[in-house]
Amino acid sequence: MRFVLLSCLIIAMLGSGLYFAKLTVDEQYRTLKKLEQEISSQTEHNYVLKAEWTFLTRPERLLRLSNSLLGMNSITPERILPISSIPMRRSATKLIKNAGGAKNVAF
Amino acid sequence: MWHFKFLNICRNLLWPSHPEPSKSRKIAVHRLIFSGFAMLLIFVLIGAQSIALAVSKTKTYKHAYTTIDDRVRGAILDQKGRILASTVPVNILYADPKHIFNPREVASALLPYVPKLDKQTLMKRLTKKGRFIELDRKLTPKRHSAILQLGLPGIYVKPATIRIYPQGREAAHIIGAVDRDNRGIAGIEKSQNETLSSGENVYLSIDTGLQTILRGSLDTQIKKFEALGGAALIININTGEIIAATSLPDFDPNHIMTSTDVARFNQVTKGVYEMGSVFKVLNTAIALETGAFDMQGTIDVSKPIRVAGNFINDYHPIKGSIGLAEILVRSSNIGSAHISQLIGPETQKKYMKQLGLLAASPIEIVENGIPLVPENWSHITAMTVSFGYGLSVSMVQAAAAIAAAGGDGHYIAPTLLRRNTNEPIKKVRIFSTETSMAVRSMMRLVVSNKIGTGKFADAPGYLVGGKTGTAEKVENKGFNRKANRVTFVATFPANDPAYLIMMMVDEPVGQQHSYNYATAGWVVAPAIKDIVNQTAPILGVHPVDITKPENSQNLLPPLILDGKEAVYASF
Repeated sequence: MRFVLLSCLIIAMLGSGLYFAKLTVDEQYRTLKKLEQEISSQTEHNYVLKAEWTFLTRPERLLRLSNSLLGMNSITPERILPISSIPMRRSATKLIKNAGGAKNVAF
Repeated sequence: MWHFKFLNICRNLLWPSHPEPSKSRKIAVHRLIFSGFAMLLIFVLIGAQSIALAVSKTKTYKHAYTTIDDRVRGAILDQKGRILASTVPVNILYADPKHIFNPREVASALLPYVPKLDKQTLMKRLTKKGRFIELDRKLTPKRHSAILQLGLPGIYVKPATIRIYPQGREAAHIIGAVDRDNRGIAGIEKSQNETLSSGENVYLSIDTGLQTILRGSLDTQIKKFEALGGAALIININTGEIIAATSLPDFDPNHIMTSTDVARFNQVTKGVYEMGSVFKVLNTAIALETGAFDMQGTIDVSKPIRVAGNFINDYHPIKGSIGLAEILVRSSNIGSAHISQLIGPETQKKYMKQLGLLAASPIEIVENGIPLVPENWSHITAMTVSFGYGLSVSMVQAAAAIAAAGGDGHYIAPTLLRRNTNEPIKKVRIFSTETSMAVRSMMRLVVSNKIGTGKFADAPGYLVGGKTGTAEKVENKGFNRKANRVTFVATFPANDPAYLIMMMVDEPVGQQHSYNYATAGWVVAPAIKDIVNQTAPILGVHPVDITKPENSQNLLPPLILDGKEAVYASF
């Protein structure tokens, strides 16, 4: 009789344990599905927002707006220069040399 | 009987009579055993239920929301990743007539929210046979919520997806369109349908920014010269990528069903035309490459050539003998025809084949024109082909061929798909570096020299080289002298060509501002200058100082044109 009662108790405990584990898994599954749903919904929003952004930043519109509102024009070739035509700053070594040695230069 | 005995025991357990003291112990034992069994049964049941619940399958949760699953049609993007075509979720409004009890009432309630349908059509649809009668495909969120609030039986909303083209008309012919079931029916949408259907994105070589500039400039010239339409493209000479291509009139792929056949026709890849004098670039290159004619030789171009009852003339008659450079710069038909005879028809045909002009181009869209090749490539054919008649090719084919002659001598098949940087580009050498250097020097003189036909294309600093072409249109088995198709092909910078622009305007009309001229030099050349000025800073092409040896060594030493030394510089 004692053995039967003990077995029953163990079975009941295992059963309850399993049941609670299943409940937890179910809850987690529900959370997962909810997250998946949210991701899907956000992805959808993303598709729409990207399309909207592309529509609003289409070059034809930007060109029209920049011409009418900002009076912008293309860069003329005179304003484009090779990097070598920009006068460079005197090199640090030259500075040092002119100052009479590294000790006298305040960096 | 044992069951009477059992019943008796049960009755005694529930309603015990006053037991005899001798029997009370027995009753207590029975009660204990009964309780024990009851408890055991309860525990077994709980255990069994626990196991059943634990191992039973979890309920599946159905999606009650719109989903864009993984297999949603991929997007079409330009080379910089800007969206050209994309799929977005929409709600479809539909009716299930079986659930509608009073169609008249439903129709009058619904009518303000379906602006595309009148009451009669709506009634017709609500009483139609079937379980899914579509009422509106693009339901806005505002109308969606209003319709839900009406709570009409039999009126439902189904989530779906729709293809949208946020750039509108830009590159519409290249992108194409899809049908109601999101299957490609034109352009890249059709040719890349399999890739797009599997959810993968497709990157095009097109740059939407440059596309806008190209389309805008072409549109301006068409309006300025009251032309029927036109087409233009820009090719990256070093990769064969088409970075912009436009054909006007065009259409909005978002509303393709409302466009006309003329608007849907792609003049860049589908239309095949006689290109006119721009072919002289190829003739010149072939002559130099084969040694049929060199830079020192001269030809008498003063007399027209009589061919099969017709005359080959020059637009501006030239007196005396001129060299190869002057033939190209002055666009002499007579000179080109003479040179073609020195080249010979077979050699000319061989080069035309190598330049991909005798078969459909390998371009990745279904709207691909097949060239009209003369059956018998005779001496007369060679003459007419030398100045761009008798062989009809698509603009994209002509552009790729001229890119080989006016570039560095390699032929690269044109493509509409973005090149993979790791993938080697298949280049076929057609012309030597010496030939291509001579050709681009001469093309530069067409623009920079005062006797050149393309002076208006000279964008200061960018060393534009080019060639004009004015071809009479074919009408009723003959040529219409008043209806021209004017073309300009330009490369820049001439010392190291990186890009080729080709533009064609269909039937321009001479205007007061053009002194009634409607030639390529007047109609298209100014647009080329405009395009180069706008696109060069975007493409990273720097203004060139031709006086520097590293730049000038890529062009021929100054040539003598019209008795004077011709200069390349434009500053």
